[in-house]
Amino acid sequence: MSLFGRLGEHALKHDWIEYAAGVSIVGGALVVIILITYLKKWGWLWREWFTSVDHKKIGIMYIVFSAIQLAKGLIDGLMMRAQQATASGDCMGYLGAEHFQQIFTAHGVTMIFFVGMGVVFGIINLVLPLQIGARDVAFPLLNSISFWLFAAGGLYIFISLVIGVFAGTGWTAYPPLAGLKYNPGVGVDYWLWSIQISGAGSLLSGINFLVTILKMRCPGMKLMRMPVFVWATLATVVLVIFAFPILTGTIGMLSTDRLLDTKIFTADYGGNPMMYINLIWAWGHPEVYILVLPAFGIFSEVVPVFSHKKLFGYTSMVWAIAVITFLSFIVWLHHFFTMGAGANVNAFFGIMTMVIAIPTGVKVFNWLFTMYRGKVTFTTPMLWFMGFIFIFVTGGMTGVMMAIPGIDFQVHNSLFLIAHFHSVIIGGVLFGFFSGYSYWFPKFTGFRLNEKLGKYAFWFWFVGFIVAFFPLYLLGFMGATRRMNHYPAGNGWQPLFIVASIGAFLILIGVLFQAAQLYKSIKERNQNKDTTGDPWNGRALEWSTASPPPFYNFAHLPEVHSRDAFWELKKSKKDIVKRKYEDIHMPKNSMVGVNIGILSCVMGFALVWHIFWLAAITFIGILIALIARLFVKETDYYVKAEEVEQIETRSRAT
Amino acid sequence: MIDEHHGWNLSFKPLWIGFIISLVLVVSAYRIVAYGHLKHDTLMLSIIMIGCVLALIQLIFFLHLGLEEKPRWNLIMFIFGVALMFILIGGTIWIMNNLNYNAMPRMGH
Amino acid sequence: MNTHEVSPDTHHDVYSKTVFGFWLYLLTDFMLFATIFAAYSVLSGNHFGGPTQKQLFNLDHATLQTVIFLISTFTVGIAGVYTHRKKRGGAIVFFLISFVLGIVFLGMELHEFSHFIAAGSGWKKNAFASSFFSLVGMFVLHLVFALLWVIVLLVPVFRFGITARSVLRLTCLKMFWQFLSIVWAFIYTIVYLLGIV
Repeated sequence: MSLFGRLGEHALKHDWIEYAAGVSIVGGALVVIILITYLKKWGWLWREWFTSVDHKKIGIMYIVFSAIQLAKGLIDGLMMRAQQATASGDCMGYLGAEHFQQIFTAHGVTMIFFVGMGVVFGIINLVLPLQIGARDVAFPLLNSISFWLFAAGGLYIFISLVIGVFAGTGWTAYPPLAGLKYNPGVGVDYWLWSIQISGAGSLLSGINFLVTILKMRCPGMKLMRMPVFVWATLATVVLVIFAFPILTGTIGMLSTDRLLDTKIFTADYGGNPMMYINLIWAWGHPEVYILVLPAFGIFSEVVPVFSHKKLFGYTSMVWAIAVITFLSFIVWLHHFFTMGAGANVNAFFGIMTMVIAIPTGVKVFNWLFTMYRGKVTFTTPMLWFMGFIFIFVTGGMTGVMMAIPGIDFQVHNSLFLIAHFHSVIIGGVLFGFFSGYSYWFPKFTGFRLNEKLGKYAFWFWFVGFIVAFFPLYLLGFMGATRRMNHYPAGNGWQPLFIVASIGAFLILIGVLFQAAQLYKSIKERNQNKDTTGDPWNGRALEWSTASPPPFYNFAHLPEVHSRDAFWELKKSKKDIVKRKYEDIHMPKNSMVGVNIGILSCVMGFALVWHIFWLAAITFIGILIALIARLFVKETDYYVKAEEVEQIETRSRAT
Repeated sequence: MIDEHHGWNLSFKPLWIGFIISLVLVVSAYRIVAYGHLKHDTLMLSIIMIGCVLALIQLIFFLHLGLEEKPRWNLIMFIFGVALMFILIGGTIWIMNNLNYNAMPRMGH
Repeated sequence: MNTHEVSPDTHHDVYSKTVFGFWLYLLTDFMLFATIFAAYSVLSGNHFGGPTQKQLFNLDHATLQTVIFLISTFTVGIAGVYTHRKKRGGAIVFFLISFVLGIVFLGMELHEFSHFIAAGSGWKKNAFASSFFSLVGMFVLHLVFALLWVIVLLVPVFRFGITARSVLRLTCLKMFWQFLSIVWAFIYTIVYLLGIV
């Protein structure tokens, strides 16, 4: 066995497009590293960010990482649009088939795992503890470890562009194509470890947030007094806890098929590739609800505030969330209606899929009823909600159409499907995140975002989305399948592909406006400071803190007597009784998270390239890091009451 | 689940009860498989029942499931989890059997 | 509902949060085994010409393993009680008894694996063997972690006695061991007993 496993010079050989991509990534990374070194900020980064166990910092790191991944995923999308707009008839486009396959695979993995899960965990990290009146999550160190596992998994997308290749199997990597026989190379292994490592982080976060919600609510915050965002988070993490192990087990078995030549998902020797599809979607369906439920939660915060009216139907919102949570576990077969199950199996899952649209509809109507007869202001967060209504509901309705097996047999794996899921994921998850981002930005940075640029960004995204994806609904009906790098001429598809690529370009402009907005807002931050901590006249507890909140969140844990706790507090005009400041117990920073992230990243890389001695060493390293932590005695410290008083008086003075 | 303030953490009694019952269950299962003359279907059902009871006994007497003070989050999460495991395993068996009915005959069975 | 919460991070809170969090982790681990069980249920009949359960399994061997693990679970529970009673000696002795029984179980299981391989039913052979090795192999992997964990936790107890922290950690270890016993109950029942009849 070679010292470097199957790693060799060939790993660096690419076509010119991949070279360009690799160079930009390595170049970009070098620029960042040089900049940080020049500004002498490594110490600050290490102390204030990388080793932080503060949920607010961890949340921001998730979002920054996801933003980088979003850029990569968007470029993947633009490349696909460019290929499909041109590759008709005699023209083969500019991307070879193998490269195209890696692009659509990486696009899916990037967007779902590293953008979707990243912004979900980012926003939950930022907002959850504040909304329940807690000082942090239940297990701050575990929170840090989760983030670094997430980042480690996400790195493979970039590493595989330079060293080796990524999977070309689609983001769900079905065997037997993804198995050892048909894909013995490193691509699928990169896919496996990327997801397995970041998946472990997700699972640990799920546990962390569930314990936080059930055990760390401030006095008086009964369950039915929690903000709906917290309910949505509760449902999300229940889904994470029970769905992610299915993913772990399933791709674990795929990795033994690949590493140890087991015969679980093989096409011969008694294996059953269809079982992979069954199991991966048993995870996959709850996964999409994990992505979208927090977005629903965000809208439940945003809509009342900008309608100047309390949320309509709190109780039915909670029930709808609970019903969606349970139902999301009994619909998964709709992802493979065409795989050959009998009519009664398909019918059962088809009906359940249609049923799950009902509680979702309840939520949409509740938001609309909240707006009705309210005094609605169309700020940027509210615009994203309006965009969601149009796009997500369209996507949802096409989902109900495909829930009917007869229809699904026509449109399964066509561009109709692609248009559907982009509508619900972009219209739902991404627009929800953008709404939350615009809404909570002042809270966590202390200054407001530029509204005008925000509105431009929204309109380009909204119009761009419609122009990019509505043609795909038509193309789907016209017979166009997904993942095509070339199609015959003369069937009327090309004009629609061209329109779609214009839409993608409009979305790109929207993203550029978002980048410009961030840049301008940072430049003008001193003119746009949030001095009150409550720039929108908010309703929940996060707005009761300064902007940004002190690292301990609350000098005194709030006591709550109703829903919309902060709103009630403001209404009662009760003066905050000057209570004595107390010492606050806080956790210390720790490098365990970073260490585990680095070690697992190297371990995964070693497993991909069959450098087994390195994999063993890094694995043992992870164990040692964990065991060493057990022996650390000084894991917490006390912030003295005097220091708390200083911080509090300073923030009230500005 | 195990709240340090509660009696069962400090008592050997539930452990003895759980252990004896579990031992009896394991031996019974062994006996009906090795020596029993039950019909095949009854035998399978009995084995499964014994297995489920064995798990339940250990959950209650060793892990003290359901004995915590309210709110019983451990129990609630457990029940939800068990329901999902049944759905996953039962659903998988139902779906895969259904698929196999329509698929080609299996090779080398 | 935290009506009794006084200030954050009192010892009771840390204990209560951590044990609940660990319980949730065990539920995810149950779900992981459920996934592999699902695979085994589907594939257990696919021998592709290789040896079958009836030819490979030994009822006496599997039952002896089960009884040994059951005893080790019982003794780990005893160790837990001694831990909560802050009795260092009792805790160490009974955790070590479980450890030794765990090693015996491990040895028996590895013996069974080598028997499988010798009989021409290694994990590469066919889907039945692969899923068997995956399921029981995953159990073995968990057991190895538990054994390592016993050593890691007992060392400070031996040196410094039982602190509040060690009560918490040893409780989690005890729960993990008892969780494994439940998983094994299903493996014994569904894999071995149902495989033999």
